[in-house]
Amino acid sequence: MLRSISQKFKVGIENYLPSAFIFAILLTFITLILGMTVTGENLFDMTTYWYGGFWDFLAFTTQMILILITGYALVKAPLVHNLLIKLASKPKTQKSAIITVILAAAATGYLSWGLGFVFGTLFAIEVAKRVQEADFRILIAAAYTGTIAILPASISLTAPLLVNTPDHSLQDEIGLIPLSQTTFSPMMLLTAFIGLAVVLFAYIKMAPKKEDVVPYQHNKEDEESLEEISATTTHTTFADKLNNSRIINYALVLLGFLWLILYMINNGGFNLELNIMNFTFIMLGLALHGTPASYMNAITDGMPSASGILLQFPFYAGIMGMMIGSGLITVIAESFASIANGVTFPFFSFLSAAIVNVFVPSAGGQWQIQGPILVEALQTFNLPAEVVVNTVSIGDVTTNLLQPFFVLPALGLAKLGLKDIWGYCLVSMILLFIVTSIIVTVLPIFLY
Amino acid sequence: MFKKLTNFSDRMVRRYLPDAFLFAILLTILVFLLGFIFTDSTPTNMVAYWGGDFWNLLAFAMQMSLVVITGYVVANTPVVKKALSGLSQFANTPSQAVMLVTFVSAIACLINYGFGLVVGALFSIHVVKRVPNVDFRLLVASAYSGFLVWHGGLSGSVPLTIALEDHPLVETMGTIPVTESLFGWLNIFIVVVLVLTLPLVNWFIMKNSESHTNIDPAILDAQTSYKEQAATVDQAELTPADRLEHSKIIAYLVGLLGLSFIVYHFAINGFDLNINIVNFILLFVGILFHQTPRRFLDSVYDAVRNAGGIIIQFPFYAGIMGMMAGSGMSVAMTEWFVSISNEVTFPVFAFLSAGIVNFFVPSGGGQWAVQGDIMINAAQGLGVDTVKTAMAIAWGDAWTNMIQPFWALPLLAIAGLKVKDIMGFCLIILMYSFFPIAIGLLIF
Repeated sequence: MLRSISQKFKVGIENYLPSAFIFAILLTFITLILGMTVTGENLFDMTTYWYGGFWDFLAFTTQMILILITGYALVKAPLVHNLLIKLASKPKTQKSAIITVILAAAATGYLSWGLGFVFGTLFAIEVAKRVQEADFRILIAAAYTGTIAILPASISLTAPLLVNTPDHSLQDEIGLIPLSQTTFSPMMLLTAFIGLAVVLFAYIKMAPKKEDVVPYQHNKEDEESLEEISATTTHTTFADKLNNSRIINYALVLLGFLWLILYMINNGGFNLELNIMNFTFIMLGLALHGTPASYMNAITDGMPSASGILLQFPFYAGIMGMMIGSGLITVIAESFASIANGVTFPFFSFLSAAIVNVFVPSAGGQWQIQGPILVEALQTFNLPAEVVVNTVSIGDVTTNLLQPFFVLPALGLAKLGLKDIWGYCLVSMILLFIVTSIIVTVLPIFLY
Repeated sequence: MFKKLTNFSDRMVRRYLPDAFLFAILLTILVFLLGFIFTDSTPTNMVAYWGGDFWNLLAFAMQMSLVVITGYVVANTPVVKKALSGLSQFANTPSQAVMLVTFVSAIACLINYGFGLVVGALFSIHVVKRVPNVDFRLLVASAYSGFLVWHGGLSGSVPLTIALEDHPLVETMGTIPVTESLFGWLNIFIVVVLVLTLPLVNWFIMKNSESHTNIDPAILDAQTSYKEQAATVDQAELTPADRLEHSKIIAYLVGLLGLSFIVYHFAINGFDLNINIVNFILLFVGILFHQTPRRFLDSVYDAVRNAGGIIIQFPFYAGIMGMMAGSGMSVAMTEWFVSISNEVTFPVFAFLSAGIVNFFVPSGGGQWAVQGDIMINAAQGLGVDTVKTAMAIAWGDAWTNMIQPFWALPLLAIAGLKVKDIMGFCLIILMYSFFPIAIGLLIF
């Protein structure tokens, strides 16, 4: 049954799904008009708020791009890449291929969403190359969905990291919230692991029949790219020797690990905030690539997949500027407080995050917009602040299966279109939505 | 003699100049070692200074990336490409070709350096199609020579950064409006002299050069012809979602929103130019000129590669800054500069030292991050104008770009040449340009 549903979706709504950039533009205009009608600001005030916010995510944009490209470069390191190929040779049937891909994507996604999206996709491609009886498209979809399913418990999940970073934007209201209350809390762990089981079940049921399978198409480029990795170039000039110097490289890596040790001593452990994650990835990447030149090449190759983040973050920052400047944010917060009660609040928080995420796909960007509203609404109820952090994070993750923003790097790597995988993603989303709705509603009743 | 010199420098550059990223790493290690040899800092202290400040330039890195990307995107719009094609009609002989390319590229670099680099490369191709017997290597070198003036123009990282209200050195030097930096007499003098004389210098090089590299312009057609398939999409094949992406109305609406704010901004604040508003203007001009969101997005996708180096290298510059400041080396270097120079010669020293540092830190913004603090403190110690010092650093940064290939890469990629093809000519330009800049710094 799931198989036929997913096939129907594939020729359905995706015709009406514009690209993420158009979403950002449309949302800009919707917010502009809402500001002018609901809160009665004039056009020039609204554009002033817009520009006032437009460049507010500059540092944050760099952090997000770094998570993506350092994750990409790490996967491209020979050691990691070889491990990938070795693992990819294990599965022999479509069913085992799907299970392996989902578990591998989930395992890496647990460490970092950037790593999960990138590693999961590259792994799915390698598996598809070897298992000709498996459908290529469902493997790419499975990799993406596997990462999404595990994200609520991922140690790279944005909102929990943000609220645990000193000087975060809501520190005055909610203070610093440790990860034990968010990422490692029962709510997040249950959602992630039950969700993962559901996704595994769904993909096994959705797998196309033998006659419908479209396997990976081998072409010459693949063989070349494989050789490229193993080929050793000769370094003739002094400059080349420096660029490929291992001594300089490892001297730097040593410095990097010294800092990490120092950091852990000073902070009493590994406090996983964005900056320290990126720092670790850079140093690991350099260590595994062996030379600065090789690392730099991988970074440059990874950059195009970051273009969406780079371009759209300012627009989301602008939308946020208008929301705050015009007072729309207070209007929404008040209407939320009025319809929710102590029991339904977590669910409403989850639901609103899921809806808003369709328009504000960046988890960090979404937290910046919704966090303040929901934290304000929370004051009315006797619930701790981490409920907002957790439910917003889960909601935000769920609709990433609908909104194409984060799957774009994967589609670029796999050279597929959104329509190829969208049906599978949507079915998984509906199932995840049902499961998580129950968890976020029932669990807080017992916990608080 | 010119020819010998050119060949010699060409060989040296090719043999000994490593990548910019490696420089960032070498400088990190060097400063680390210097720190615990020459100051009281322990290795642990140095690691703490380094790691503690490693992420201090996150926002700055994004601003610098956006300068390159938005400039690149605007240069690839149909309007700009058509204008370049039209301008190329003015070149009929090789002499005219070289002079025109130099002039156009310099003007474009004054507007925005990312824009100028791409315009220079595209314009060279347009011109060589019209004047096939011109030496193409020299033509591209001429285009790159226009890059010499970028830091005195509207995308100059140092003047635009110090115009922000919260720039990193605001406590020592305050906010400096561009009317004092970019539109001060010193900068105007240097820019005008260079823009007027560089075409002649390149013409002189051409007259003395024995090189005749002719190319078949047909191979470069791919770069200058517009993406026709994008313009002639089959409307019947499009889904409603696709139509939005190819919709001119969307692009015009967004462009209009952006432009109306820009007009409003200048009407309210006067001529308040800073790095954020420049990026904002180019972003929206790019959306407007590309006409559809799809073409704009494709162009951004192509442009983003050029920012990889900036994003990964800036944290290292920040770490270097942290070690320099934390260990007290900044103060020691400042004192050393004060001891060897006087009020008159200091700007020239600042310029020369910036020229040297630029080898290691080719990004103008990164350079300012490493050097700005030291030189501004030294200037205050000597009673030299801080704005003049900032501009001296800006010009030093622009100056040695002539023989540092980092920024030439996007230009060369479009023109299909290698660094070695143009750097020989660029060295001559570097030598010449020392004089107008140094004279400007001494007399104003």
